Amino acid sequence: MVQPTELWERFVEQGSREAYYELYVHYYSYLSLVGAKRKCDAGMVKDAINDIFLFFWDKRKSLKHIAASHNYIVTSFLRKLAKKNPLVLRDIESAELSFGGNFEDAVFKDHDQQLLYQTIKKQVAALPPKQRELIYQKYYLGLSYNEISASNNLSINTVYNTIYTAIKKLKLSIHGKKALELLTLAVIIIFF
Amino acid sequence: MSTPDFLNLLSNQSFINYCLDRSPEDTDSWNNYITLHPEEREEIERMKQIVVATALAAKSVEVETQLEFLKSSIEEKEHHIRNRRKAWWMAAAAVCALLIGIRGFWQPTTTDTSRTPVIYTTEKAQKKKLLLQDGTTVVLNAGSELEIPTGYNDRQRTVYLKGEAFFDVASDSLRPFFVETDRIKLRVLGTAFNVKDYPEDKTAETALIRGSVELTEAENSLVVLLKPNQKYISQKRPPLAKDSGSEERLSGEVLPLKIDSAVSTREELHIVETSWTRDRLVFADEPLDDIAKKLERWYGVEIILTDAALGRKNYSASFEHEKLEDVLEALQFSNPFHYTYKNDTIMITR
Repeated sequence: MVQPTELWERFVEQGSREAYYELYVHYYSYLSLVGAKRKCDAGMVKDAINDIFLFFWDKRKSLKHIAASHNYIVTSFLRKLAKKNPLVLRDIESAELSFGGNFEDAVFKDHDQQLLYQTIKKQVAALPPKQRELIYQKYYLGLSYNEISASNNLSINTVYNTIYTAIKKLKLSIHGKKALELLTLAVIIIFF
Repeated sequence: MSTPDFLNLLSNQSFINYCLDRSPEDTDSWNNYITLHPEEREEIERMKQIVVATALAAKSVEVETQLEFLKSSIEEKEHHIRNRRKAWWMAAAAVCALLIGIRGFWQPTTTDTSRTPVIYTTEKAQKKKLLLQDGTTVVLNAGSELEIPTGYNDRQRTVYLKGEAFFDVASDSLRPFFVETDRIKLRVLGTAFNVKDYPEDKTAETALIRGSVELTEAENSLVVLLKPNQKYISQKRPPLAKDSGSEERLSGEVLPLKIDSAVSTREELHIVETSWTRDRLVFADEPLDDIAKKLERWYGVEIILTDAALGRKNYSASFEHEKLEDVLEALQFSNPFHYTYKNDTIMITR
């Protein structure tokens, strides 16, 4: 995988649009997590991420002098958040967060997993936006029910029920698929 | 720990932590649990895969959605900047033309070759409202595509449409507005009208609300002039034999617009043909075949009709913000059928 510092260089030196979009993809979840851990409203966090990236695009020619791109991106983000909500702390030290283990590669190792992933992805994309966002915050960002409740202005019960309903839907869709596979298998066996 | 209910497991904090390897304590405790209950290993492993796949799928969809949003903001911005720059050049050119007193200097500058056509698209179950630079507003219906070519608004205004859109064209007598689809071409001045030409539909439809529209079909050069509250339906037909020398014929016919009686009052008439722009789904005596195509675009599903005769049966109904199941149930009332709904696919049987 390309390092984010390298993406940043390609973006500011050559004005590469691809590098810029990749950089956005790389930082989106990280900044979402940073914002959520500071108890910021989820919509506000999205706006702040978009705002700073639009700013980077506009000013790309004047960003060449920036040496520590990671710190610059995180600081810009925190400043933007603080502007929107003065209670947000701006110190970058406590922003060093990570998503924990290396579960990301595991999914692509075998065919069944890959198939499962594709099925679930289709289902996730079809969920109503709010449900989808809560699923993202719960499963990918790893926020607690408390944190999700705070950053979405919902009661814990609502958060829990929404996630439970959504995950049940996902699980059922997988089982439907599984049943179909078995049925196909049965048909094949009968015919041959 | 008692025997887990597997569905509850999926939303259990400690289990999610274990799956995504986020907390050493949870990882240890679940590994212990599996050692003590080897018979549950397989199902737990399966649940773990679901959690991991869900996490990654949710991330991927979320980031892609947001990235699309960023991309369109940037495109819009660049479009705006180009126009501002161009406006400046135009103004400068106008001043020069005045100073020098030469006619014909009023040509758009051709310096910015970097300009590219802008294409707006909508997915199924999605609509977009667009404001073009000349003040024309466009509402793009689901599963459609609108191309604004390079040089739009320079000397003339032409757009290319696949699917359905409602246009309210800003009046400008010097620069007529053209809409081209696969089957038809329209020339309009200041006007409000609806155009529908989906490749999968048998007919293409142009409905005029106000103003005037000149319509020509792709296959002949005859001109149809539409008056307000009229629509023209073009039929798909086999191409004419070239050697026949027969007269050119129009494929379709002019009809009056339909009134949406459910919401119209004596003061205000609502038109069926543009009801979609007000989020109303209206079927006015239409065959189930056509309704199925509308529903597919409106709800983003796939519909399979297994019975041809059923597909030819006509239905009338109107809906506003209803769930798909409720729509199907209402249709079943007027002419019964059975359906199954699974994985975004609906199978309709007799």
